[in-house]
Amino acid sequence: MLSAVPGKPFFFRAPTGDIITVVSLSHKAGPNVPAFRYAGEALDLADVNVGQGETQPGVTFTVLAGRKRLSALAPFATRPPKGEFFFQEVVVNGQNISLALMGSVIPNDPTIAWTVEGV
Amino acid sequence: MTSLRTLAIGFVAASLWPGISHAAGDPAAEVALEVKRIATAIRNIRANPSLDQDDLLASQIAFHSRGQRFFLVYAILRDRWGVVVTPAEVAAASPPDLSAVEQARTDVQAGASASASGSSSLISKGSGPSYFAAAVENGALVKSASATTTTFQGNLIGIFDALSSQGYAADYEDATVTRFLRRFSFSFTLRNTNPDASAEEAATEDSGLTDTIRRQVQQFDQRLEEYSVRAVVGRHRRDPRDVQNLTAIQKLMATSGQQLLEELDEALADLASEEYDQWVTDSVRELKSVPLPFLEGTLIQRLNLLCDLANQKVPNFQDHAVSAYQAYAAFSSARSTVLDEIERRPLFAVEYVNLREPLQSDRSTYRFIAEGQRGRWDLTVNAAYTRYNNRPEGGGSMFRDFQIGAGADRPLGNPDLRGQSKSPLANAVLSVAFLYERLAESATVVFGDRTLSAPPGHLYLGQLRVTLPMGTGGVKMPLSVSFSNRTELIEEKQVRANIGFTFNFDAVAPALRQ
Repeated sequence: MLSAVPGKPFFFRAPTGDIITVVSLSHKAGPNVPAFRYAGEALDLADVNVGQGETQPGVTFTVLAGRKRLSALAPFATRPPKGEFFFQEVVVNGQNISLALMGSVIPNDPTIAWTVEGV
Repeated sequence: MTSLRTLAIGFVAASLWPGISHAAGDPAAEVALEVKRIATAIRNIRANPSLDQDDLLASQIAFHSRGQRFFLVYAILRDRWGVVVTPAEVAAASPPDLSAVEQARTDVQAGASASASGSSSLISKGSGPSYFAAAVENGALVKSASATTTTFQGNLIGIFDALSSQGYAADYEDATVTRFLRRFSFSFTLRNTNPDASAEEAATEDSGLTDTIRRQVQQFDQRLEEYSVRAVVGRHRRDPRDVQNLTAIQKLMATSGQQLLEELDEALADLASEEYDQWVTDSVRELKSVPLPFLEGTLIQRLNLLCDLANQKVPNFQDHAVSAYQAYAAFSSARSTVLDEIERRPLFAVEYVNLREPLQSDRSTYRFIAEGQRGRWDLTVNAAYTRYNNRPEGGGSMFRDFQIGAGADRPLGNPDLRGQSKSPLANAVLSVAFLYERLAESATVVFGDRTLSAPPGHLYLGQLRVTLPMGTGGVKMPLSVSFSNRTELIEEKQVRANIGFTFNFDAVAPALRQ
């Protein structure tokens, strides 16, 4: 699981080798088809179980050692672009699935990036 | 000095947006506007002290993560062309007009149908407003007697959307029922003058709340000229969630989208470092304590230091910054192409119109609407059948008329300027339409307070219309001239002028959601 580092915006730490899942949610912003990259590689989009019988598009990656960049782009494929996309980490604890908000983007600024430090 | 600066900005714009520079904004103005937005956000954070104030301030200036495009343009302007935004330019920056794109649409009809006593649309369009729209129109097209009418049109689910304030948990994927209901739009048209004014005057002698409500309902009933329901039928090919459209968007994200992320990685990944963390910490400390009149200047100073850091940490930072910005422009352009393709897909709709006239049986019109785009022309075909709801006195036929028509709408001006507020002519729309009506022997019309038999036969109508946007608030003014061989009542050639004002809430909704 990602842990936010106080005083460092959009900066997370996680044990190296942990598997992290991030999903996106379109709030009145058009089709939910985001693009993700981690550590210089494109990540494949898949439907992720977010609990309560719901799925959201997201990606899964294994945390590498050191500081790596995780980035995302929201499509805002409506005319005019509108709404907001939210990015959340899917946290699975036994049978429980919860979502932790990582950030959001709006039409004027559809890209977002985080630093994930593998420790 | 000023001309050199203007030249530099023009050269930057041409370099950053090869082939589409005329459609892009002024990069220095965009940067000034964003500095102003960030400074305003910082002022608001400082005005409301909280335990997480430092984190909130840090998130506003974390340009490795957010505002990446803004920072890259700032760095290119400063380091490559020596253009630095001044606090005075920041103070003068004003936001773009978000309504311009909606203003440029050609596929939405906000007014009444051609059968109303006040209308400016000979042909019914397939799409209704996403939220709601209103129109005041003067002059009949098919009828002999003209009047002024007010039409309200809307989408029930869209109105609930506009009124709701759901949290971010509500996502875009509608329930099946909601998605189905989005296909439906409704309208009702009221006469601006009450045809039964004498009854209205007599009724004003009543008193009390119940009487007042009853009187208002009665007045509404007397003024209601027509109401309609329209539904998109078959596969809704213009819905971005249609399988074909989703596939196109997925392809866009996998190609241009990934290319953009890759270029941003190249330009900014190496910036994430201990020095960057220290820059954020120092910037938060300064922005938190600087006297507010000097906030913009301090922010610009911190941005300059970050540019220096990026040049130091990222090999060939300037080249990567330009590549990333060009990738952003390429993504925006590719997305625009996908959305153009979606708007061009054919659309089919059916419409039911109930026309009410005093002294006569109500009439029902069943209309089929087909719509598509060819080049810059939005093409619409209508076929309609009208019958009386009750058999006319004397036992005539229920059938009243049959109509078939076609129309074409085209935005004027340069296509690359469409949807831009600086180009009002590009948002004006030229329309031509033709309507044929076959009136049955049993057709009657109301003229004054008398019901008259309409001469059976053929009606041919042509219309030339220009719809002008009035400012940026979603108001448009349709001006039209129509030509016909006769009206329903009078067998003489007619030339008529029609004018209206329409308001579409879709145009201002994005601004209200900011």
